[in-house]
Amino acid sequence: MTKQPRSLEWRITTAIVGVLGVSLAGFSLVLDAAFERALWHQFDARLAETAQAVAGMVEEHGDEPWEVETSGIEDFNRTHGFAYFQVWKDDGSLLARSPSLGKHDLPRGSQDGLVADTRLPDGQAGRVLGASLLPRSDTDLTSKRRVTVAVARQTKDVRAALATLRMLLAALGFTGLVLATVAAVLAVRSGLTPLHRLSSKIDLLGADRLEQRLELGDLPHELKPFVAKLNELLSRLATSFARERQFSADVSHELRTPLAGLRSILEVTLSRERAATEYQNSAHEALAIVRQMTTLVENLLMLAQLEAGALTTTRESLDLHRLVEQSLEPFTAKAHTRGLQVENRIPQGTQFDSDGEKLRIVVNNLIANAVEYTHQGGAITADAEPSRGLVVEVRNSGPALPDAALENIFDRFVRLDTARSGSGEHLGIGLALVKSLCVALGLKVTAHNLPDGWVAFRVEAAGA
Amino acid sequence: MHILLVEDYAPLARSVGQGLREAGYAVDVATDGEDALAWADTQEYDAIILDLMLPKLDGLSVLERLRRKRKASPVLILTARDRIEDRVKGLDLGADDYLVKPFAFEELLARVRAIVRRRYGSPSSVIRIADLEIDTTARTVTRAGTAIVLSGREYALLEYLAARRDQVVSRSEIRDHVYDFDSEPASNVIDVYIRYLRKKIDEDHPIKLIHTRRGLGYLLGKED
Repeated sequence: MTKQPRSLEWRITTAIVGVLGVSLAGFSLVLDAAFERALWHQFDARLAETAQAVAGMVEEHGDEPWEVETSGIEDFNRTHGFAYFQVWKDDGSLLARSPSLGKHDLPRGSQDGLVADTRLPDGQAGRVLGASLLPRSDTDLTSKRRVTVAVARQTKDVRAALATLRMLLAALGFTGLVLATVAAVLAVRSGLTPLHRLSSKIDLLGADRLEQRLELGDLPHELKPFVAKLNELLSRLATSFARERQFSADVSHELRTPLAGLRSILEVTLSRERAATEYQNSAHEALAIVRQMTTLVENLLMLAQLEAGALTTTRESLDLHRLVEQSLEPFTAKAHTRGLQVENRIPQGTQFDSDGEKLRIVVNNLIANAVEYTHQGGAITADAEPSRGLVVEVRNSGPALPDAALENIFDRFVRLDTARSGSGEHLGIGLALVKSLCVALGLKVTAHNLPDGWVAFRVEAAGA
Repeated sequence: MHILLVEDYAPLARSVGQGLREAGYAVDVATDGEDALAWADTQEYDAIILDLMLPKLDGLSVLERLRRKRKASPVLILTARDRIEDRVKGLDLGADDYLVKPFAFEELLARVRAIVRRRYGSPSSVIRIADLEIDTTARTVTRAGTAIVLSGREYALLEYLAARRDQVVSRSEIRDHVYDFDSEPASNVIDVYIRYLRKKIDEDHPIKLIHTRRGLGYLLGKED
C-alpha cells in the first residue's frame, strides 16, 4: 500500500499547533526562570537584611568582652520572622546562636556573602547566608574587628510558591495548547473552505458538461491561476470535443449520402423487370459511387493515421517534373471533356528531396481539385522552384475562391457552395489530407487569389 | 400526384426521381435551395421531398421560406444528419415527416403516400366512392368487386380526382398535379384520358361517377 500524502489541512494544523506548543513551552520556561530568580533574590536579600540585624545585636565594649543583647533575640524573631542565626567572633569562637538551633551549628561560611542550601536542624530544607560584619559599637572608636554571622531560613514557602507557579504555567500552557489546537483546526478548515467548495464543483464537471466554467470571482487569489488554467483546459477540451463531434457528423453525412444513393439505385432498379441496358447503367452508377466512397474511406484512414502520428515518412530524391506529369495523367480525359488547357511548366530534372508517395498524393489532390473546379474551358498550370522554397504550385484560371475559403478550404469537409455546380460533389477531405500530409512532410500549403483572377495552391518549405 | 424532389447528390436525385415516377408520381427535381424555391413558386406540389444540406440555400431555410410564403405542400425532410435537434428544428419549422439517409425506398414511398393522404384529408389508404374502390397503396381499382386495369397515367388522374372527390377539378389543376414539367400535356390530352377513364369505370354501370362541368372541369363522385 502506498503511503497517502498528508492532507493540506493536517499539515497546516500540525504546523500551527507545533509552533504554538513550542512557543508556549518556551514562554513558560522563561517565565519560570525569571520568577525563580526573583524569588530567590528576594529571599537572599531578606537573609542579608537578617544577618545585618544579627550583627547589630552584637555590642563591643572596648577591647573585650563582646556581648549579645539577649533581649534583642526575642525582639528579633518578632520583627524578622522565624530565622536561625549563629555568630562567631573574629577568632572563630562561638559568640551566640539562636535558641531555635539548640545544640546544632549552622555552617560557617568561608566566604563573605555566600548563600547555600542547607538542611536545618528541624529537618526542613533551608538556605544559609554567611557574612562577615561589623558589630554595633557604643564608642566612637569603632574597631575594625568583625564578627562572622550565619543566618538561615526555611525555603518551604519559596519552593511552594515556585511549585504553584509551575503548576499554573503547565495548566495554562496545556489549556492554551488545547484551545489553540481547536482554534487552528477551525481556522484552517474555514480557510480551506474555498478549496473544498472548488473541489466539489470540479467533481461535477464531466465530458458531457464541458461548456461549464468555474467562477473566478469569489476565489482567493492563490487559487485563481489554477482555476484559470483549468478553465482554459476545459475550453480546449470542449473545442476539440466539438470538432470531433462535427467530424463524426461530417463523416456520417459523407458516407450516408452515397450509401443512400447506392441503396436507392439498387432498390429502384430491382423493383421491376428491366432491359439489360438499364441494369448496366445502374451497375455503372453504383460502381462510381463505390469508387467515390472507397477514396473517401482511404483518405479518412490516412488522415486519421496522420493525425495520430502513425505514418512515417521516407526521403528520396524526386524529379518534380515527372511527379506532376504522372499525377496529371489520370485526369487527362476529364480535363479534355471540360475543355481545360493543362501545362506542366516545371523544368525537367527539377530535383527535390521528399517522401515521393505522400508528395504524389498532395499533387494528385491539388490537380484533381483544379480539374474539378476550374471553369469550363479554363487553364491549369504547374510550377516549381525548389531553390526558392517553392515545391509545387498548381494554378487555375478561376473562378476565384471566396475570401473566407482561403483560410478554411483546408479544413475537413468544407463546402464551397459557389464553386459547386449542383453535381453533388463535395470537397470532402482531399484538401484537408493535403494539409496534413504537407505538415508531415515539413511543408506548408496555402491558397491564393491572384490579381489576374487566377487561383494558386502553393506548397512551400515550411520555413519559407 | 405531383412531387418536388430537392436533392443535390445527383445519383440519389436521379434514382429517387425514377422510382417515384415509376410509382406513378409526377416529379420535378431541384438541385439547390434557390432552385427549389423557384420550382415551388410555379405551383402547389402535393409533396416536397427536401434534402437539408443543399448548395446556395440550406433545406431548413428553404422550408422556412416556403412556410412564410404560405405554401402548404407537405414536406418530407431527407437528410444524412439524424441528431434529434435537427429533427425537432425541421418539424418545428413546418416539416411533416423526417427520413434519415440511407433509407429503404419502400419506406420513402409509404411516407410520401401518408403525407399526401393527410394533405387531402383522407384517413385511409383506400378511397371508396359508391362501389368504386381505390387502394392507393397497392394502386389497384375495383368497381363493384371487379378489378379495373388502368395505365399509369389513368391511375394518376383517377387518384387525384378521388383525392378531390365531390369537388370540381379544373383542367389546369389536373395538369399541375398529374403531369410534371417534362411531360407537360398537349391541350386536349386531359380530355382524352378522362374519356378512357369513363370507359373503364362508368361504361358498364348505371350509376355514373365521372361528371363534366362544362367550362369548369370534372368531378368524381355520386351526383345527387
